[in-house]
Amino acid sequence: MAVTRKPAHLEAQGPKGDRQFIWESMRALHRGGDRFTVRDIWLLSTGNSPKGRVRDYITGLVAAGYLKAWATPGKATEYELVRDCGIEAPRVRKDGTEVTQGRGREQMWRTIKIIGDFTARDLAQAASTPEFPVAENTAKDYCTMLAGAEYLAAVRPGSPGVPARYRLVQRRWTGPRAPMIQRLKQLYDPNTGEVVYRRNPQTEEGDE
Amino acid sequence: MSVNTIVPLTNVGLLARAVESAANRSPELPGLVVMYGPSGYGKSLAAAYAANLHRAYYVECRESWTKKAFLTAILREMGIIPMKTLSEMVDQVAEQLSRSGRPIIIDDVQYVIDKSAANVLTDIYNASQGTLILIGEERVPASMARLERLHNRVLEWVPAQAASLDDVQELAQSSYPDIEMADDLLDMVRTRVKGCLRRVAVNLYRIHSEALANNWERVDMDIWGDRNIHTGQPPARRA
Repeated sequence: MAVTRKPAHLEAQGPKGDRQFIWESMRALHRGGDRFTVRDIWLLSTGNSPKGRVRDYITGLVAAGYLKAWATPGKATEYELVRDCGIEAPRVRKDGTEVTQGRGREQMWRTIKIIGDFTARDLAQAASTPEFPVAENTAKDYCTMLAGAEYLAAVRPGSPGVPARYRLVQRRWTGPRAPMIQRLKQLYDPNTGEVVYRRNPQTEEGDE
Repeated sequence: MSVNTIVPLTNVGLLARAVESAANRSPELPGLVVMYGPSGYGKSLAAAYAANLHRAYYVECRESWTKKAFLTAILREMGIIPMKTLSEMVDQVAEQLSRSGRPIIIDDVQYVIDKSAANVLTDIYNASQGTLILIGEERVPASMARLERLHNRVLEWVPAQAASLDDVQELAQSSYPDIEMADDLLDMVRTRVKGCLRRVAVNLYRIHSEALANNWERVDMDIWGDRNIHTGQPPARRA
């Protein structure tokens, strides 16, 4: 058995949001044994993330204990990655508290893969935890949008009094990040960075 | 917000407790949990709940899987771009498991446990010392006995239980709150399907449809009469 194991290289699939890009940059620098400044990370993002955004995220990571700050008078503060929790960027606010918005959606997306076929009510029940319960109506909207994007197939179509039964279309599973319903009633898939379904294409064109 | 939306099924609770104790074990203890039992016993519901509590990774094995397919599926679930060789891929999986501290649930493990792909499990466990939850059919413990290196790393064996009357009541109540189904009928269903939760669900659906069609608000054995109970057996040929 190998005694020293070189850390494996982990790179997330798909398009990266600000947090994910910043986090992976920090991991890469850390792997090279380097500390880094806000400016280092901002330069790596080639201007895609505003500097203030980089700074806020780093502040949050320090507050949450992922980074340690090394201040030297007269020089920019350097940061060191002291708690590497893997590929997934920690979701922290500027004060270091965890962002839990979207956990219900994440739980539904995970559950859909596990439980075979289901009604919206089944999904709400199976995806609920004491900390993050999922309401039946939330599950219903999510199923409708996912079915619209053909991520779910209707095993039994809904009719008055009989709820629709759905099943995941396996080859449409794009990745671990849960597709999200956006305000315009469209479904965005963060795994591919694409809008995969619009509920009312006509009205939306009219809005623009 | 409803107070308790969790269906407290027996097997859901059993697995949740086992995963809880594995995830919070002291470092010298092994980290494997194995849940096994016949199909239709509600193991997937148990997996979903445990997975959501701990943000666990989840993969469902397929019969055709090679080592490479197995590892690729896990990395895909983690959202990580796979490297080229098997050994690099094992390192990637192990690195992510131990860094994140998230458990991984491997469902339908009977498909890989008798093949060389099973070594992937041993490798991942050894390299990560993570929490691995294996779920599979009744024969899984017997198959695992042959994989000594994996077998003696099991912290807890969790045999899936046949549905209890409580389970059936809970399912009836949560799925069909509009119709009252009497205990004598529910218990008869449970006995006829030998505690298989999936078949219980099929029968509850039929009872519910029949009740709606006949305008029943309450069904018991007398009302149900000699109507059929679906047991999964093909009907006997009539003479």
